[in-house]
Amino acid sequence: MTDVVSRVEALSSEELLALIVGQRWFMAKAREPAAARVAGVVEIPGGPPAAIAIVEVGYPEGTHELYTLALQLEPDVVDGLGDPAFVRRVAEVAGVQTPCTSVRPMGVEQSNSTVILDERHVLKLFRRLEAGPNPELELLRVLGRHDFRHAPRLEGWIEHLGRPLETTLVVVTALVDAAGAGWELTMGSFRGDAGWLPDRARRLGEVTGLMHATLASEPGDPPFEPTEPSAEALPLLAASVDEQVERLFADLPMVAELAPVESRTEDLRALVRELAHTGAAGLFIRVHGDYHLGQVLWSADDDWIVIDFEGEPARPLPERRRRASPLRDVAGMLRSFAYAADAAPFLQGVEAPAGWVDRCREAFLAGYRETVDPRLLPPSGVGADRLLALFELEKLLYELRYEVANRPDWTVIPVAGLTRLLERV
Amino acid sequence: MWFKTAVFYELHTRAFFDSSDDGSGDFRGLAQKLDYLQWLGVDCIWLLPFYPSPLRDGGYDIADFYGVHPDYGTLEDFRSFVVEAHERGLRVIADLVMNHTSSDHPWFQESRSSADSPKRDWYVWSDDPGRYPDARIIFVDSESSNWTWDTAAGKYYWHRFFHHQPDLNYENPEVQEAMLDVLRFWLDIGLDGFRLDAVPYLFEEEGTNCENLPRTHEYLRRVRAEVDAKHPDRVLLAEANQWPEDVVHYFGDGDECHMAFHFPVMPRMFMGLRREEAKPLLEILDRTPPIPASAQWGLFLRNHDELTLEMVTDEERDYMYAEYAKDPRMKINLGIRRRLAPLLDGGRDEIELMHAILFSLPGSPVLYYGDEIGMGDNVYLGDRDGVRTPMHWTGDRNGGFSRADFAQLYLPPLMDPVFGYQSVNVEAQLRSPTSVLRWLRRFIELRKQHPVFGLGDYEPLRPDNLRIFAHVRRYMADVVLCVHNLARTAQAVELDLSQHEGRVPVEMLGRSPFPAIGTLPYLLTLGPRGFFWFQLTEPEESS
Repeated sequence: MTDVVSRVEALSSEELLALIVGQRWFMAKAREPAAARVAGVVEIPGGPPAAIAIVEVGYPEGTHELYTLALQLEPDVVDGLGDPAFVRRVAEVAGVQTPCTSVRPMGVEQSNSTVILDERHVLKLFRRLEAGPNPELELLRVLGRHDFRHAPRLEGWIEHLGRPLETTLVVVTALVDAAGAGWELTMGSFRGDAGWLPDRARRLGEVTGLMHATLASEPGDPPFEPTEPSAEALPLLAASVDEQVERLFADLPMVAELAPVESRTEDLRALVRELAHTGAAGLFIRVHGDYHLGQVLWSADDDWIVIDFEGEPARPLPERRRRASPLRDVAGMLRSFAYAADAAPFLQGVEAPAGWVDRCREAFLAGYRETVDPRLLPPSGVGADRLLALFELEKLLYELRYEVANRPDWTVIPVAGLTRLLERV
Repeated sequence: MWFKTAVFYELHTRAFFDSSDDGSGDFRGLAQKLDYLQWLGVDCIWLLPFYPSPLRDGGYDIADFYGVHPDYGTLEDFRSFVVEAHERGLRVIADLVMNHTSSDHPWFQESRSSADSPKRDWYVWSDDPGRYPDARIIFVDSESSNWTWDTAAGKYYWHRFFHHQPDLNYENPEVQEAMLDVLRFWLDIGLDGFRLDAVPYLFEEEGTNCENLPRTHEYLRRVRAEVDAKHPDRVLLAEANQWPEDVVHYFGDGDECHMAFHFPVMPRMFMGLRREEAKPLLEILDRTPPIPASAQWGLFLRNHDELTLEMVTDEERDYMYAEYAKDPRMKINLGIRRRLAPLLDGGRDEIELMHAILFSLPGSPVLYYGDEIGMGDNVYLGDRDGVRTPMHWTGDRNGGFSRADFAQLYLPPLMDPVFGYQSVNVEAQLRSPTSVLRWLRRFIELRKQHPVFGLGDYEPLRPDNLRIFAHVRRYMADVVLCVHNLARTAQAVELDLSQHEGRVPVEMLGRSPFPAIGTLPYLLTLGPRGFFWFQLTEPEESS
């Protein structure tokens, strides 16, 4: 055992908790941890003592969570990716040589700390750990192996193997030279050329279809092998959605914005029953998992680049790694189009042009059908439409809960979506 | 300590799903149904024995501790099943029979072959079948003695169960070591623990009933230490069909088994329901001693065995037979071989009430496969096979369990008009929002939202209305009041809740607030076989 490892392991519970509690990525904001201890250490060589530590935070009732700290031990023990010299060494352990003359943080995330190095590399430190490889690493590897050009190039990573768990600590990718994310660019376009997204939606559909086809092209690789879903897969989904509908209004505080759908529980449940009849579901594959306009960049080369393959951070890792119907991603993007249009009055003070959402939808779906592997979809067109609508409904219910709890005035957005869905199907 | 808040699901690999169309369920089939179990919300699968076996006792006659019965697939299939279960957050424990082996086990064959065999002393041999006379016979319907003559050995061998299940000799340190090797093997593969079958019988001693001997406990402490040392977070669940004051010894000082089944509480739930009174339940719970903080009871309504009536008085047993086993075919040994739904005459209110009581008690509930859809049984099948028939997935051929020819199936699926697969199956119940299955899923979810049910204190209330079983569970700030009406008529009850004065009961399924608790007795009315679970909230949190 090296000196650094033993020094990190000797850190007291108080010292560790002082670095963790209160951070944005610390999950249990309302709970008081009982103790913390270092459960694993990856030494960062090549300079003053430093390491990436896996810290187990325990709670009085016997549960625990695992967090990552990027520690420099001298002169004081500090956590973080602020010091360029330290970040350069972390990148080197991940297999990326870069001088780190500039290091700047990129946004604030719930689940990770991300910095941009020399305006060329993106280094992401996963803060909350669960056993198993991070989907970001898994998916970028597969996409890279197939020369999928619409995702950042994977450049390096740090994994922890063996006890206490096998997990991904760091991923480094190339920085994408992009005009911006789809969401911001779309929002901006409402005050100028509102046709910006409709004109690019078909290409986005094509890229999405290609992404799914690529993720489905690893037949020999167990985590990626496309599989026939079990006979219960869709009935279970339908039952879960139905239950969410049933409980929706019992659980939600009544806000005025809910009025248009409040009396329509039974219509929604009838819709679920109808949508549940899709026939075969098509093959299940690994998917993006958190797919929306914020996750796609419009690059300097005038094309779409998909980013952030971690999946929905609120869901447990094994669930994020579960194969699913790719239509779940499609539904996510379609809902994102509707969100953009319906949020325009809030964010831009303008209405989206009439028919804007439908134009985006139709163009996107046309592009998607062109490139996706048809084995991934229900064989009948009606079945595919229904399954897609079921995923959209699932998404809408989630949005509804989220908005009621966080931004009640935005509740009108999912409410409008539900109304449209009831009319459309 | 995950097991303290877990919901267990017991299943028979053979009965769950057949992926190979040969008429018998297998691990690949089971893996395909993991989505279902995850959806249902259970935390841990308990597998009945799946080892190579002549299957003369449902696999509890193990012929090789290191393999998988070929009907269920390969060891590789088993490994991937465990990995896939873990990926879904499901744990897996397996039955392990430490006490005995099948007479087909090579160890026994070697042991009987010659007096010089190195394995001779691995089993309990005697020239005198009168030894240990105080040990009772367990399978009274089929065995007349605990000793059986073996012509090859020219001696009698000792067996607490069937005569084809010779007891291992735990006096022999090699046997102790061999069994630890077996445990290590499966823990290394990833099993999350074991249900230790028939633990009280490991050692024998003249002048005792050969149950619960100090040396048996000593060995279990060794097993626990071995497990904890290399495999923390696993669970040992003891099967000891005894009174709670005896069973608690299997927890040791938190240094033997993590869990043990609470057998006697089970028949008393059924008795309380028929007699429409809380007394049998209250009595057995009063009689249940405290257990170490790290330990947990395993509670169940039904399992793969008969509804055992060993832990009741003769009079109570006669009552239970008269009420629940009207057809003599339904009896076996000292028990009743029926499933939950037929025992309750398919009554939906009764099924819900029994689950509510089960889930409200201090312990971790263990569900039995098929009971979540209210599957029936077939008393015309031999032994306990009537409660081990294929799972009903759909209304299609063979209940969607297998695409083999009907005649090939290991047991016929139920086809009667009431409980048969055409009316009772997963597919139909998933579609029907009011089904037992959908109700139970919500109920499991509710229980899991409140760790108090697994971790909290239990404090019985003793209202004047004896038909009401009511108690308070408390864990840290979470206080829950559970009130169950055992009567088939509507009842009113006044509960003394004065120590919770000022709190507001919020009904947990529908989340409706009830009037705040004042100084007077709290009046509740319950429908026939109805129940209420309330969270007793501080006034500010409920508003």
